[in-house]
Amino acid sequence: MRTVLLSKSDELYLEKCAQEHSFSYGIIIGHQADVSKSIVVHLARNSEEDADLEDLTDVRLTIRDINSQALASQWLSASKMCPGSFDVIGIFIASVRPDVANERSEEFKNAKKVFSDVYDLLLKTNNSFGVYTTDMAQTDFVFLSYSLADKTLLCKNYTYGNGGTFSNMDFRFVEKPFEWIQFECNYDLDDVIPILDTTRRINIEEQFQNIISTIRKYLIASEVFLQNELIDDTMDLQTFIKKKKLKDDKLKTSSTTSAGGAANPSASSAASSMHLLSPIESSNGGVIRANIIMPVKCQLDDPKDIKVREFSGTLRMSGMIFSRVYCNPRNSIADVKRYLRDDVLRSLITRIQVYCDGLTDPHVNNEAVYISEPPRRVFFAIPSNGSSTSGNAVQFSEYLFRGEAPTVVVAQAKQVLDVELDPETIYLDAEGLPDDVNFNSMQTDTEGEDTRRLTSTMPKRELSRSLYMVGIAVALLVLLASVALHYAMNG
Amino acid sequence: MLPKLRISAFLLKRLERVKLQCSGCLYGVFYGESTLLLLSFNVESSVGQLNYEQIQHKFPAELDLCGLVKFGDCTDTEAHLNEIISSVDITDNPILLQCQLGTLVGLRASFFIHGKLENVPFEVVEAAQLYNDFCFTRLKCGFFLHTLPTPEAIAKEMHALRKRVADGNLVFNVAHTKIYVSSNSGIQHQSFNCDSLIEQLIAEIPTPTEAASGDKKKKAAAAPDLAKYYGAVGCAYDVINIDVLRSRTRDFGAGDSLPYPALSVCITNEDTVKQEVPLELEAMAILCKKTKLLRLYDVLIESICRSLRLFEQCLIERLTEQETTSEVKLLSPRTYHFYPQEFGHFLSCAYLEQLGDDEPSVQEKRKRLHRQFALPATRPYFRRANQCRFQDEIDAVDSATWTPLLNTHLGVRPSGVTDGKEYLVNGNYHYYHYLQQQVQDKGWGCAYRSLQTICSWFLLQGYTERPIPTHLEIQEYLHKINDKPASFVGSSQWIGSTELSMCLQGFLNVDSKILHVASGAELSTIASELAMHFQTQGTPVMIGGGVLAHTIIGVDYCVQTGQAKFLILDPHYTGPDDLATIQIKGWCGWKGLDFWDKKSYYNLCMPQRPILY
Repeated sequence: MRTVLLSKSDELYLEKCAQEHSFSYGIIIGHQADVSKSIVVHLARNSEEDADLEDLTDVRLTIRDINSQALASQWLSASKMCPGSFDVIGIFIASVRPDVANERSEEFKNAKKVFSDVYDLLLKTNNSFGVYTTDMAQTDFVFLSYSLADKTLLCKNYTYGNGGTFSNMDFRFVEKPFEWIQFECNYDLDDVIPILDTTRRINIEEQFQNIISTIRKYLIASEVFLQNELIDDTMDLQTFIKKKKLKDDKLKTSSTTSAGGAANPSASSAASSMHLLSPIESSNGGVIRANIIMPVKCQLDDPKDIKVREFSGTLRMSGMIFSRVYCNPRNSIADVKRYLRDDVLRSLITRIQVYCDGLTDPHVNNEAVYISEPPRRVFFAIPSNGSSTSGNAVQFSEYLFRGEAPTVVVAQAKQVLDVELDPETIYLDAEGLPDDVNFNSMQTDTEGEDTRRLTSTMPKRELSRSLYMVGIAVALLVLLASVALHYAMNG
Repeated sequence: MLPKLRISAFLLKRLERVKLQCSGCLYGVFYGESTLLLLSFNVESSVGQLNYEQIQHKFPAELDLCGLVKFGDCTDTEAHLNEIISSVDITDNPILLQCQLGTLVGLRASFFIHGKLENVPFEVVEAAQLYNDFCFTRLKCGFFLHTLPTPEAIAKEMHALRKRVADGNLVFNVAHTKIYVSSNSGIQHQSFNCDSLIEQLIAEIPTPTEAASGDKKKKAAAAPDLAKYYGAVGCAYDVINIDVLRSRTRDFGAGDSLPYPALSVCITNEDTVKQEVPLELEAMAILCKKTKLLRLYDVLIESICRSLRLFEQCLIERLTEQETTSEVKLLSPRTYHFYPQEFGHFLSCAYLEQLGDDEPSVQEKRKRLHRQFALPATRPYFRRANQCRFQDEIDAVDSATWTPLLNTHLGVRPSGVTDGKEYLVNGNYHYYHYLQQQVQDKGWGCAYRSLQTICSWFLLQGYTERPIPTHLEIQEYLHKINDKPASFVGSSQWIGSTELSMCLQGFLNVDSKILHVASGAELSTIASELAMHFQTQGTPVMIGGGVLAHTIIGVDYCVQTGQAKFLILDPHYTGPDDLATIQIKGWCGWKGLDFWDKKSYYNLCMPQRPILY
């Protein structure tokens, strides 16, 4: 049976939700520690309807009143913000009434419908939902229901399909803060994808989907090195760290002895073997660095089917995706690798989606060169709910366009994750601003005299759309005025 | 200090065969403290572009231009001495060989030391020692070339591609192992350190049998075995297969360095139509097994760059040959490795897909290549069908589709003819016999099988790409040319040497000589003729007549005593393809005169090599 592990602060948060709002619901962000254990990383109350309700404490809401649309959209936003090792794993309810945590109550029966509604919405409204570097579909979710009246928690496993089924699930409150091992990686996108169909105007959204599917294929075929070393998939993370520490200590002692006794040069050269691998140093804060390595082949699947193709346009990618994930020591190395790949893919999909949402026209006009600058990834620590167990905080991420202020992140984090952030604490420098010098030099390199270059287009969320509307309105006004003037002059 | 000089026995044999006054370039490997091993040469034309510039990229990486050879009384100017010497990059002391015409007597070797020649002694390296001391790496990878179809654009894009290859982000994986070679972290393996040698790497490569038995104690035993599983047909070199990967993660900078820029995408919409050419390349390099592992990364990068240069040359040549018509469609190049028996080393060529071997321009290029390497233009060396067969690929194909045993006579017990000389089939063949491919031909199919063996020889020697004909195809052909009635097709009727010769003519355009022997007792009289056949033609011979059909693949003959024995490949074998059984039970082995039926007549079908290159 699956077990859900919660921290004390999660309990406090549920209590707080029930106290302050009498009935609340929200999403559970969690991490799969091993086959049977899920860790709750963060709970976030849905605040979508707060504004519509005048007196929050007075309304007697029930499960039936849950706005599945609001929950689905929170679910989706949160899954884009959390690292690849985390995911939205379910829904929670916190209420003052005892029947929410009672399996036999009428209330409980409605919970199934909420799940299936939310999941249907997720599948229907978003084609990038549930896109991972593996083909496994998530169909099991966690349902937590907390009743303030008798301070009980009900924990169920929900399986999607055939109207959904609830099955038993254990849960446990853990006193100690969860241990996280942090991994960092970046993925350099220096690919050129030819645009084969040039009979039509180039549709940016389509081309970007093309990028996603290409990179996904690459990632699936990739290998991941940890600290420059290939580690066997079946090993678990804590064994890897133990071995690594042992080896590092050995290296350290051997290098200090050889440095001390310079009389033995042959011994020192032997000790400084060929692994110039960076040991996990304390200066890194215990962060393990990963490298993504990919086969250099024309065709990953079928090497027979390669032909010379003609094209007259290209998608040229430049820059990188910074990735940071948190894993549990019980994870296998295979899990870690998958999480890293998923994180890169998730970040790519998210930034492309944010970018495309801001486009007013998905088509590239006949400009020779069109530079798209999707937003860059920024990180922020999730403050532990209630208690202040700092130092072990995990980081989530958001996306900022050039020129956008970190306050955007603060608002988004409040809305989706129900956390208060200080804009000063947002880490802005994991990814730098793209420099189009790359393309400039490329351009002068290949084209030479082409000057029809369009300056960087950086759509602002919503803003560009409203600007567009204003533009049309002004144009209409001018037209009306000129028509009026025309008649006035003639009349 | 003067470098030590060694010369491959293969090269000496090739030098000996040059009978005209001319000059050429020498190619060798520097290894160890300071040893030069000469492995190859080419003949320079006296006018026009220097040949070595055209062919140097065909050599495996590390086999570089290192000097020149003069045959006969060739003057320095005729030999382009100054140009060639100044092109020698790998050493300050180029080598000069002076060779008499048609003989090795008086062969002199000298190094240029500060512009002066100093004579040096040399040591001959025999095949076995070459196989023992050297190995080859073989890697496969693929790139896309995005280019306009013009020579200038191709040259530029190729240059950019080579720069990318050498940017330090490639990572190499030794196939079947977890050994990775990268530019920043060297080679990761617990048993390697910075003094480790290539031979230690070879010892770590598991062979299929080890993998099956799970034997861990392989260190000592594995090395000599590797060639058997990862070598090439025709030689005993160990071949290290390498997979190529690319690190997509940039190095993490120091703490306060600027972060790398985030993703941006540039969409270009160009007026001109460009082409995407897939470049699936295979690159080889030669390495002394005592070379330090630390060198491996650079050598592998160089081998890829060499292959890319070969591709570039091949793409541009095609463009310049082709008069500019309105539409130029580039073709994708592919690497073909060859192992000419005369060479003792591999050679790689790039051919364009969809441009057949018999296109005049392609033939012309091959002819030039034969001339450049002083090879006769009467047999094929560099046709696609001549490409080298690697053991691991044969094994891979084996498990998917069935292939007969190769060269079953290797390792048979000696004939026992006193003072005899062996004259054997020249090249590779497959052993075809009864009941293969689920054909129930026991009792009637021996001549068909013999024909299949002969066809396999022509296929493996690169004369044809036609698949081996089946029994039915043979019968249909004989009916088609009105040699047999319609009822013959699908029957179990025998065929003889005449039918064989007709089929060879029809299927492969090969002429055959038919030799008639009145009785088995007289077969000794044709031993010398057979010896001559194997010397000049080297093709398998079918013998049929009144009784059973067999394939003769060699003769051991003593001129003085007239004693002769025949190396027979018996198509009547019905068992599984097990080499040991076949050799022990004599299905492939030396047979004396008593093997033949004294009362029966015999007809021999002796296929003649067509003149082809």
